[in-house]
Parts: sequence; C-alpha cells; structure tokens
Amino acid sequence: MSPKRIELIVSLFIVLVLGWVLWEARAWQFHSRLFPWSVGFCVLGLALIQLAFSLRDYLRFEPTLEVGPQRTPLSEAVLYGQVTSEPEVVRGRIIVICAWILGFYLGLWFLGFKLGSLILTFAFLRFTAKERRSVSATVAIMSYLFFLAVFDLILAMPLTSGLIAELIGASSLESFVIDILRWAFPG
Amino acid sequence: MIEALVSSLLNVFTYPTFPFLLIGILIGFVIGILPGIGGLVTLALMLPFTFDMKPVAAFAFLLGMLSVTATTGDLTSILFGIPGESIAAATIVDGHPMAKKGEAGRAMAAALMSSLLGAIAGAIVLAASIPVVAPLVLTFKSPEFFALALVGITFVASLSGKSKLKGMLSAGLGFVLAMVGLDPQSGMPRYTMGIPQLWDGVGLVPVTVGLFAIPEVVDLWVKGTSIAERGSESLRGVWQGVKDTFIYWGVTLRCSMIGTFIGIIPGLGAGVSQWVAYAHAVQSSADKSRFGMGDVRGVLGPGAANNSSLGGALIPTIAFGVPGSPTMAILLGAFLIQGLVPGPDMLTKHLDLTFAFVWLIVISNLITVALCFLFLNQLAKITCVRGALLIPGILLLVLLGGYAESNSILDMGITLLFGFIGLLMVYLDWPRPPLILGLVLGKLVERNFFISYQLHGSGFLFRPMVIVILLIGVAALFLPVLQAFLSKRLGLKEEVFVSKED
Repeated sequence: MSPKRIELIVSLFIVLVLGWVLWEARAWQFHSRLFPWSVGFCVLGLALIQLAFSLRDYLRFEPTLEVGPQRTPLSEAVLYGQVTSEPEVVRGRIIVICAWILGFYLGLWFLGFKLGSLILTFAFLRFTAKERRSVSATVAIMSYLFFLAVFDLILAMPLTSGLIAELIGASSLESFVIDILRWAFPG
Repeated sequence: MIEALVSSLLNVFTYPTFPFLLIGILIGFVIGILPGIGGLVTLALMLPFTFDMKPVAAFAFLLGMLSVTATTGDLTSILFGIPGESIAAATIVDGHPMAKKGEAGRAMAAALMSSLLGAIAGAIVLAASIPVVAPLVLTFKSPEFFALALVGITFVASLSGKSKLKGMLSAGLGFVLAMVGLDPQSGMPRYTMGIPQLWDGVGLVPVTVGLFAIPEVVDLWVKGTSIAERGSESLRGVWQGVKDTFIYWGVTLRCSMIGTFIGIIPGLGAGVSQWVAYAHAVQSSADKSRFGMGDVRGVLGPGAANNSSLGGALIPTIAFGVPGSPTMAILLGAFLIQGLVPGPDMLTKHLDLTFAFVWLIVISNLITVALCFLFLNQLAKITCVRGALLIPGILLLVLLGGYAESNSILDMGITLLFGFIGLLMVYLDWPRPPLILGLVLGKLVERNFFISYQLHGSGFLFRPMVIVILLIGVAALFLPVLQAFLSKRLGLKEEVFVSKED
C-alpha cells in the first residue's frame, strides 16, 4: 500500500474519531460539553482540511507511485540514508520487529517482568537475532539480574508477577517453579 | 544577606549533609537514566526517609536527587531515543539523531553543559528574585494561566517542521487525548470506553515513551547496525559539545530563562518548558532545516530549560507555599515533615536554609556533570554496540517505563498503542512533538478555562494581563511569517532577524 493511500486512510480515520468525540459529548450537560465541543469542532475542521489535501494528493500522485519506485517504509531511515536494503526486506524486518514488540508486551503480561525479561531476551537474541547460544544466555541472565536487583530489590517497584502466576495463585512464576522443584526433590 | 549566603554554603559541606547530598545524587543519577521511573515517584518514595534528618540534610538528600534527574534523563534520550524522564523528551528530537550520526559524545556534552548552566541560572534567579517575584506571582490567577497555556500552543508552529497543518492537527489530537478521563466539572467519565483505569486520563509517560522510543527500536532493527551508524567519535566530540554551549550561549541563556520563568508559574513546569525552549531554539535560528536531524541547538535549549525550571519552581513553593507542580507538592510535604512553614519565615528566620537550596542545586549539578564527563566516552560507546543486542533491553525498559507510572498493564498497552501510532507518524512524516505539547497543555487550558469562566464570566478574556499575554502569543505566532515576508520584500537575509550566534 502506498504512503498516499495510507495517509488518506489515516486522515479519514481521524475524521471519524473526531466525529465520535463530538457525537459522544452531545448528551452531556452544557458545562461538560463546552470544552470538548470547542476543541473538537476546531480540530475536526483541521482534520477535514487534511482529509481534503490527502484526497487531492492521492488522486494526483497515486497512479505515478504505483508504477514508480516504492518508498521505503521508514521515512526517518530514508532521511538519514541508513536503509539500503530492498523495500521487501525492510518491510519484512518491520513486520518481524513489530511482532516481537507485541510479543514482549504479551510475554511481560503473562510471565511478569522478571521471568519475562529472561525468557524474552533469550528468545529474541537466539531465534531472531541469531546470536550464539552463549551470548544469548549471558545477555538474558544479565537482563534478569538487572531487573531483579534494580527494580525489585533496590527500588522495590511493584512489578507484575504475570497473569499466569495470578491464575495459579502463586506469588510469582519463579517461586512456583522452585516449589515444584522442592516437591520433586525433597532432599 | 552575604553572611547567610556564605554560612549556608559552608553548611552544605558539613556532616551529615554532604554525604546525604551524595546519596541523593546517586539515586537521582540512576533514576534519571532509567526510563519511566520519574523524579516524582522517587521523591515520594524517599520522603519517609527524611523524618529523622535535620532540615538541611533532608533537603540535601531530596534536592540532590531531584536536581540531577533531568540532567541524566537527557543522556538516555540522546543515547536510546527513550526519554529517561518525561521532562527530557524534547532532547530526543535532535539529540538522538546526533547519536545516530556518531555524535553521541558531542550531544551529551552539550546537554550536560547546558543543564549545568541552566541549573545555575535557575539557582541564581531563585536567590535573587524571591522579594521581586512575590507581586508577579500573586497577580497571576486562572485567566492569566489560561492565557499562558494558550501562548504555549502558538509554539506548535515551530515544532511542526515542514507541515504546519499536520502539526496543528497533531496538537489538536493531543488536546482531545487530554480530555480522556473524568470531567473536572461534573466528575462524569469522558471517552473512557467503559475502562475505569482511564478515569485518571491518559498518562504522559506511556504516550511519550511509546511515541518516541518504539519507532527507534524498529528503526534500529531495520538498519541492522548499531545506534551510531558511522561509529562514535572520540573525546574531540565531547569537547565540541562543551564548546557548542558557549558558541550558542544566547540560546542556552534564553532557554534557561524560559525554563526558570515557566518553572515559576504554577501548573506549567519543566514538562512544558522543554518544548517551549525547543521551539524557541528553532524559531530563533536562521537555518531551521537541520532541526530534527541532529542540530546541537535542539539539545542545548531543552537541556538548559528543564534544569532551570527547578530553581524557578522552588520560588513560589518557598515564598508562598504554592506548589507549582506535583513534584513541588511532595517537596512541600518535606517542609511540613521538618516543621517548616513556607512563606515570609523562609526569607527571614530560615534564610540560611533558603540559600542552602540555591547551593544544593548548584553543587549537585556540578558533581553530576563532573561524574558524567568522567564516563562520557564509555557512555557514548554504547551507541556502537550491535543494535540486536540492545533491542531486548531497550524494549523491556520502554514497556517498564509505560508500566511504572501507575503500575498498570493498561498503561503498558497504551505505550504499545502509541508506539505503533508513532511509527505511523514517522512513516507519514507527521510531527510528534506537537501531540505531546497538546496533551500537556490540554489539561491546563481546560482547568483554567473553567475556573476563569466560573469566577469572571467571559470578561476574564479582557483582563489587562490576559490581553498582554495573548498579544505576546499572537506576536510569537506571526513573527516567523513576518520575518519571512520582510526578508522577501526587503531582500534582506533572514540572519538579520536572528541572534548573531547563528
């Protein structure tokens, strides 16, 4: 999908969101509605102008872009002249890293910060960055120890123990694993 | 007066004040570098430890910690593109591109020196202005604060880069985002989509961290190299950064004053001053094309402003017991713990302590900057580490940064959401700073608008001070247009209208 088309979709989406913002406020008391409407209508005006420009650009430039060279997805990278790869390769890398970002979020949510930092770091380095097993393990352990020492022990931050630990009723997944090991090997 | 100034300096170097200052600096150093954990939270966590301390030692501990977080927060912003503190977000815009170009040492040195000068400027103003500023602050009521927040919006044009429309729309969306949460008038939930965790609104930290840091992570992976593409320069770059501070002394000084002044005004603070200072750095430069791509002036401005704000913010807190920010409100708690009442007593009976605040800000910044310079080359070398090795650590810190503000998984989700929005904005060339400015100013504008309207009706817009402030805003808005028009019309170079240092 070309940037012009994406910009048109984004502009349309913004108009729709602002429409919802104004629609939502219609039933509120006058005082509650005053500020959202004052701001909302002004921003909607700007959004409509932006939509008009996006539509114009789309209609004017879209055909040439379709046949011409594709723009690299990261404009900053293009700006600094850092990306030399083919657009397909770049697009593939973007999809991989976005999936990992989402994976880190879900991983931390389910496993908690301490165990999550260990497992996710190792998994990313070993399976995606293709680092050696020793390097991946060292960085993962350092990451775990850093989280444990700085955020848990020194700063005593209430880090989430993870959804899984909450569901099984353990204080953390680590303690759950240790309890199982103690049960399996009583000595 | 001089006697109090000298005795308070000597007092700072006594036992146990000085060791507590060093401990505070150390904590502030670490807190500043780590993203998400702000000075505010740490101040609240450390407050109970001051119960058994004497006043000077307690404030040495707290102010030592607080005054260095902005300085070290700038370093994280430059190195990784993640704001170490929310008040160091503006440093990313030019600081991180400098790191990418292999100029991390130069950018950090510039940030450190401007931070030091900013802190000193703020401290000097604090020392000199307490008797002078009293009538000024007392003149300012909600209508004036409303007008000041509106003036802040006029800086959007300078933060918008090439596309002013996209910048204004981005700021407008920031305003809309600021409306999420409980309505300050009726207490009714607005745009919360039935999620109770959104009743407190959308946090500034998750939005800022997501918007700026996640696109950097993606960029780092796509490049497949280290942060610094061209290899990090050596000590020469650090020295250049120091020199830049003095070459562009005007920008540094003016931004320090902007930071101090905004710090004085309750409700604004370093979160706003960094962006206003950045906008000023852009506005006052002849060649604006390099901003956003690694212009050192874009580092000097916010660096100076976010540090000088502390000195400014202390003025109303000490002199009138009016805390201008949540941080100052917690610090006010320290006053009460120590049995001190802010107000005239602080200028007479406890003048020693008031001057000690000035010295504490200066000394803690001097120590921090000296410490940082010792390790600057090592820090700069981080930018040469292979990107793939840094990505998991950065991602963990980014998500923790989002989580830490209210210990909420939802906030972590907001970080993620704004990360993808940031990515889209970078892709489509939409400016991100105006959105943050809109989010910061939106709440201020709304709150002061309603208080003003309820107290004065629509007549609040015609108060003399409001008119003066709004005229300044209009001038700030149209000055760049006027400059461009006159330079075209008269055939003059744009340099005529800007300071000589450019």
